[in-house]
Amino acid sequence: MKISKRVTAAILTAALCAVTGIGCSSGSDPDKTAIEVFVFKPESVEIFQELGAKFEEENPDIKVYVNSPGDAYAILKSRMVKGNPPDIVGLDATQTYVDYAKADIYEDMTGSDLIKKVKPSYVQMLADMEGMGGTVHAIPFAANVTGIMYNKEIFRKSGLDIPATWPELITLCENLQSAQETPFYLGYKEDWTINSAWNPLAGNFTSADFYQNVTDGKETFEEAYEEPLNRIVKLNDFSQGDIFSYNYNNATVGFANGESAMYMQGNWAIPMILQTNPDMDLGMFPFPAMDDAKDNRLCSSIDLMFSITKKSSHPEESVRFLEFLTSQENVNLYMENQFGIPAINCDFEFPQAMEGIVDDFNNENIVSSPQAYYPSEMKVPVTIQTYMIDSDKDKLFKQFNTVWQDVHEE
Amino acid sequence: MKSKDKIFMTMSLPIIIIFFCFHTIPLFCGFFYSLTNSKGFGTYDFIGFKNYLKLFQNAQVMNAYMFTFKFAVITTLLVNVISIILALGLNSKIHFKGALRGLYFVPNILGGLIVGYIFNFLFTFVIPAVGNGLGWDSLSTSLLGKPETAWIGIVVCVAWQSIAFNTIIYISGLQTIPEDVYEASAIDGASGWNNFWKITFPLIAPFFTINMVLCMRNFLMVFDQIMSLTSGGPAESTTSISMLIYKNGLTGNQFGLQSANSVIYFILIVAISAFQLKVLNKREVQL
Amino acid sequence: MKKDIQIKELENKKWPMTILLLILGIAILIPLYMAFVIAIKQPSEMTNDIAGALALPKHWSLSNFTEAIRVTDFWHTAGNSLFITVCSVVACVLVSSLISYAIARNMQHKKIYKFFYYYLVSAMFVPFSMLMLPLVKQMAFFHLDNKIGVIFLYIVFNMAMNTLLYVGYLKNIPVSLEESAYIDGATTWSVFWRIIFPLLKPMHATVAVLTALAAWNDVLLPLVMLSGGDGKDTTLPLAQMMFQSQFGTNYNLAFASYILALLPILIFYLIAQKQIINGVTNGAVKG
Repeated sequence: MKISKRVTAAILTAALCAVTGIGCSSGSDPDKTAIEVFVFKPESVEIFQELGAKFEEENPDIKVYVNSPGDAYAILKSRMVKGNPPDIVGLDATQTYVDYAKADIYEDMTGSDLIKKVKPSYVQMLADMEGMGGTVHAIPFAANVTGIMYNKEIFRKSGLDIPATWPELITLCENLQSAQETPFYLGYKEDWTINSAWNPLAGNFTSADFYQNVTDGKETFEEAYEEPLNRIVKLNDFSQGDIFSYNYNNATVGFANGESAMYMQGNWAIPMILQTNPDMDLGMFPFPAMDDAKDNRLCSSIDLMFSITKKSSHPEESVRFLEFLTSQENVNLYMENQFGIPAINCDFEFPQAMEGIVDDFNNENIVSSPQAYYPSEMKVPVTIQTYMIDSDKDKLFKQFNTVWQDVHEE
Repeated sequence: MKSKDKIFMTMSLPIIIIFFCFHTIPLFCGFFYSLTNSKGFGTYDFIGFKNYLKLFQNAQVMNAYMFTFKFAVITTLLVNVISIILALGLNSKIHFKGALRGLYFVPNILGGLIVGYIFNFLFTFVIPAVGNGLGWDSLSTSLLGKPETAWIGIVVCVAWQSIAFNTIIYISGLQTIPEDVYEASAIDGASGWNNFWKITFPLIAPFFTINMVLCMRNFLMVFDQIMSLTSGGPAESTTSISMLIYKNGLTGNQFGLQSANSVIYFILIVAISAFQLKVLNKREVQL
Repeated sequence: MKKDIQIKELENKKWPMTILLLILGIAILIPLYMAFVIAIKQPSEMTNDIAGALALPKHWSLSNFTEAIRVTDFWHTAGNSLFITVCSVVACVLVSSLISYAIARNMQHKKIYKFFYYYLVSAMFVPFSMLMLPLVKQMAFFHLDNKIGVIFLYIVFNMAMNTLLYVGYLKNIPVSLEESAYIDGATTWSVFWRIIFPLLKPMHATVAVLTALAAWNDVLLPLVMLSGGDGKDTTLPLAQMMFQSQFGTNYNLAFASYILALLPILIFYLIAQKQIINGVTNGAVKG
């Protein structure tokens, strides 16, 4: 009994010491200005830490903390609720970003020196997305493209060509099937993977002002989405089967190991494919969504863009960091590491795997991914997943319309 | 005597006050937000009970309640039956008692998310392969891939993890039964089955009550395992109420609406638990 | 002679049940085995079939473990987790047992203590997601969005379950022990420290294991409280979330890290196990 008491006392003392110790050790380097860079992509944390260290070397008066947590959107919201948002916030193009921009949390970037470094098409894309009369509140940094990746070896073996139109794609799939190859590996267990097929389809079938027109009652989802829905369901015939049992990881591994000839994904999947199968001969081409090759555009979106928060106590240092980040050399460092595509104007060499999309990209034959326009409550991928299972088109459109009206009437 | 009362008060009052500040006050705040259209940040308006009305018209919310209750009831029953059987086994005279008890507790040590990831591999690759080998069609594809069967996968995974702790509680319950009770009944020539219903079960009834209530409450709040097993799919067939509140309320933009959902949910859980306690306690007394 | 036969009978009984339990134990071991196998494989050895989940790797290597230690900054983050867990356990045991003693000895004849009891225990049914955002705001206001604040909240959030356990157990400890101490002139404080606290040892073990598990594996609370700044407060489960990026989860690294995280708490449980089961018996039988 006495011993246990002593043990308790010892533990308590230790705990107290630790508590006071923690209290003292905080606040290292008082002469340095610390800025916090929040990035929503955990997979990019290492390259940002590297870049942060490089920046600190060039700017000895500033300390950079890179914060790249899992479940970034939940964290960011709790930070906003706390009232101490990070100095720099790096997000992708979604309505969550727009909500923050509308809540007046970010600095206005319209016409700044930084925004002049960005390719005009992405500035336009961002302005359309925000829908606030052309203002932008972020610096688009990296872009992504969604298309079809393919196994060059299988294509060579069966003597197949890259399809440029929807009918060609269907013929290609049928030929693959008769050659005992699986055309697509679909990982629709994770509903977001449906976006990879949906974004190019829905994007190509609608114009940029479609969403405003829906709000104004000039166009309807029913009309515009009829054909994309039919086409996305058609693709399920060319899968490995049992598509709702496999997730993104399974599908990526399956494609990398040669179990399918093609894979509908964006450039972000390339690192994992090459990690699974380093010897793979990988190629990528734009999703042929249309019947006429002339109408077909490459589906692209902003993958990562940086905003400076109004509450930041170091806006100047934050701008300096973003200037550093958007320099030719550092953009290339990041893109090489992440298989990204720069949204910044600079010399850039596409990795070999992405050769097939270079032309469209350089000619700016690009359509913005519709994902950026959907409010999160609309849950587009889940709704399409449900439609694939129950084939209830009315239910799908009812869900889309109800949420759209709900969000846009306010 | 008076000083004793004072000391008891000094023991409890500070803790109650802290509890009030860091539990009850946020709870009231949550209730307040349920009357607004808040997104969790920025400005918001007071909209009265509109959120509550919206809630009852929302098919997704209703589906989540249906799924959560079905799941909680079935899993609670399954876990308690298996736990009692395991506890009887682990409490009988066996070799390697300590090691076996340790082994059966391991699932409880792992976090729910991690268990979900492990079972994901099991359901996607191992079980279909076994099903194919045995020629059982119903097992030849993943349970998690179909809306009709995905919930079964979640029941199995959650049960696997929860049985551990419930078994421990039943073992400690069984150890409260003195040997001589069984000796007396052995003289009467009672068999194992009779022994269980006439002696063992009534004597561990208080443990049964607490396990039933805690299980039900835990399973109504199920979150982690679903997050990593199906994230609520396919076709939202396995979205639990907690997930809905987290996904739409925190990551999404329906903070006000989902606060209203939490209020309803809280009231329901309390009601169910109170009901369980009443029924089970009554039965305890009767026995 | 008769005794010998009895002993022999008992010994005969041991093996079939042991073997049955060992066979059932396979159901526990298969998922654990899978976690282990995946943890020692390389991503290039993962295939979409049963071999990917179950087959042993071609080359045995612990490189995933060393890589997992590096990526999660294991010694630092596990140190934080350990600090939070140990402090929470010690504080929970002290605070909960103290207030439970006050409640258990007074709730029979004083309404206010009965109210305290139900007030604390009913908190068990509040969904955390409802409190989360208001709590985040409040903790930030008090500058408690750090390790200390997290410990503080673990005390508050585990209070319901712990009070339920301690009060239930205290009811079974006869008051006669304390009364003789009072006659000798002891104060309530010294009665608690000298007599009650040591008697509660088995419950301490149970509460400690439950609190430790809850604190060690928890993701959500540290996620919303500790994220931000220089990240020096990051806990191990938070660091492990890095493995779960949407675009490709490296399960090999993740599972290696999960297994590393499992070991300390497993050791702690094995030490506490004997106390939990044996202790509950002693206390209850005496009552």
